[in-house]
Amino acid sequence: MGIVDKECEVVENRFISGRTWLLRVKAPEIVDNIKPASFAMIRSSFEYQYDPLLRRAFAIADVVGDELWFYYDVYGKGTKLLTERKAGERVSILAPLGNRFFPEDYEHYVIVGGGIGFAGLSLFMKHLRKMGKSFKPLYGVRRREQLSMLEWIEENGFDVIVYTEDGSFGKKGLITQDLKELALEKPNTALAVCGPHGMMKAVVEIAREINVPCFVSLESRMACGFGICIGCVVKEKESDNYVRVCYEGPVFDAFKIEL
Amino acid sequence: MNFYQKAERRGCPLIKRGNDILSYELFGIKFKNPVWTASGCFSYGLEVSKLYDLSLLGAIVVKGLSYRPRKGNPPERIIETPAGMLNSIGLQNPGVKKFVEEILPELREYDTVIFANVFGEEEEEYIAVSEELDRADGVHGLELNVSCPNVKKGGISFGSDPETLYELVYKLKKVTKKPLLVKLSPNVTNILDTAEACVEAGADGLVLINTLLGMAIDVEKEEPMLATKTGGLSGPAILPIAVRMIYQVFERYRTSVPIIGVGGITTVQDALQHILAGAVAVQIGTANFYDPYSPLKVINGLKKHIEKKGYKHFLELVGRAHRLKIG
Repeated sequence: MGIVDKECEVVENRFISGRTWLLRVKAPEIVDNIKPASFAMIRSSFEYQYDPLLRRAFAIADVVGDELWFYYDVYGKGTKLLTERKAGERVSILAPLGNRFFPEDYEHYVIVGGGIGFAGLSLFMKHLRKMGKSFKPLYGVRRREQLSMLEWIEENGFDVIVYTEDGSFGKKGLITQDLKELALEKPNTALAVCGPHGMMKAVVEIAREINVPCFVSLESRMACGFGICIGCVVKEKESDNYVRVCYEGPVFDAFKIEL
Repeated sequence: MNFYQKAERRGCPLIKRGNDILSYELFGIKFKNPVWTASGCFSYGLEVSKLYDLSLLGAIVVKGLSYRPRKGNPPERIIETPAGMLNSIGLQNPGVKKFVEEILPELREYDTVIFANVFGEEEEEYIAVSEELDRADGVHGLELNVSCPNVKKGGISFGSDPETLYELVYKLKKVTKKPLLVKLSPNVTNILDTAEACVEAGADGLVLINTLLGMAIDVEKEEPMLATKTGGLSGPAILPIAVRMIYQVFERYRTSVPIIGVGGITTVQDALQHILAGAVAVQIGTANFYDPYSPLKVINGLKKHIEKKGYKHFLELVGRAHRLKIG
């Protein structure tokens, strides 16, 4: 089954906290083909309105029945416009996208999600639980109001270590502070990471230092999301070539690319 | 009666009507419809086969090929602008040999026409690429990208100087027997000068237009947003420029030089503007990114429009906006 371009009905589109919103859409044609770290390109403007021209890429945070869930941060024109979509209206969604996902053959995973990047890992957590694998999720933000997925975590019953830089919730400090110990706790462990660039770099450095495999789910400015614009590239170390985040990713072995 | 009808009546060997309202034969190639996908906006096509059957397209123009592989530019490569986007991909490609050996065998399985977009840093590279493609089974024709900087002439693009352009097209015509189209750059003072150079040198057709050179600045960082500072502007914003240039060139050459329209097409209405201005085929570029089914929507839209207007064949529409008396 290929990629579907569908006008999906909005079930709910509401403000959560900080700058994060939750968009739920009905997408029965898409839900069956989603893999953890699959993403979607969503058009925030109406058809044939050309500003903003391009769709925006969003991680599929959850699949519930025939619904897709997206947690998204409002930053610019596109995401601001998306907040105006009401329940009952339709949004154009191109999904599922991405071709390389997290490897599933490790025995234990440490999930490292920074800010809205946690929404790029939530589906993988559900998947790991279903497979009966052991994993430890970490969720780090600057301030409490950025913890927009707390409700989701609670509803789904995950045991997550939460870090806030200002100490307003959970442990005070950076998501990387206990990472070495947590990553070395069990044999055959891998890290699954998604978050801001600086955080990912710090995590990858630690992973390299302690020699624990590390996989990052990347985001990038994308025009198409399915491989034809060659805009969303990242450099592969060995070949020294640029590869597409949307097509050769979005998940990469962190040691093989230049972050 | 319009220009193409008249040309047909004269027994113009250039173009022959097909059985279907959208089909025709041009350059000795049978096209099932006049809707192509544009180079650089469709990769090498295979990615899109996950969305729809590529055989539905009139033609595919693959991403630009050089002799040597090119890594392309560092990110940011793409910046959205009002009703458009700037790109500076840097012509990343695997090189013509790898294309012919590894990509083409799969691509030519589809029942559509394949044009290969060709570029080089100097004439010799254009020639080397064209020689490879002339031999390649499954490549129906060549489209020259002349917006590339000419390394030997201080980086001035081949497409901005009529003399350089003439030389290049003249030499390449000797290298390949396949139809040779030249994709003209709009970044010139007078498009008719570069069009003339190509026609005089024997180009089989003209493709109008390539992207317009532009820049976007990040007002917080106070620096250009693209890693290479400038990039090519494409998308709906450039539609009127493309239409104007097609109109100008058609006005001069009529049906003696086929024009392929590209620039700003998303909908059938946009495509019709190109066609009425004089384009005998249209290419869809940037719209593939935000509306991947747009080529198919344009094909269906053209059929409906022709039927609604009571025409018998697509060719009756070509150049009709010129309203010249014929007799």
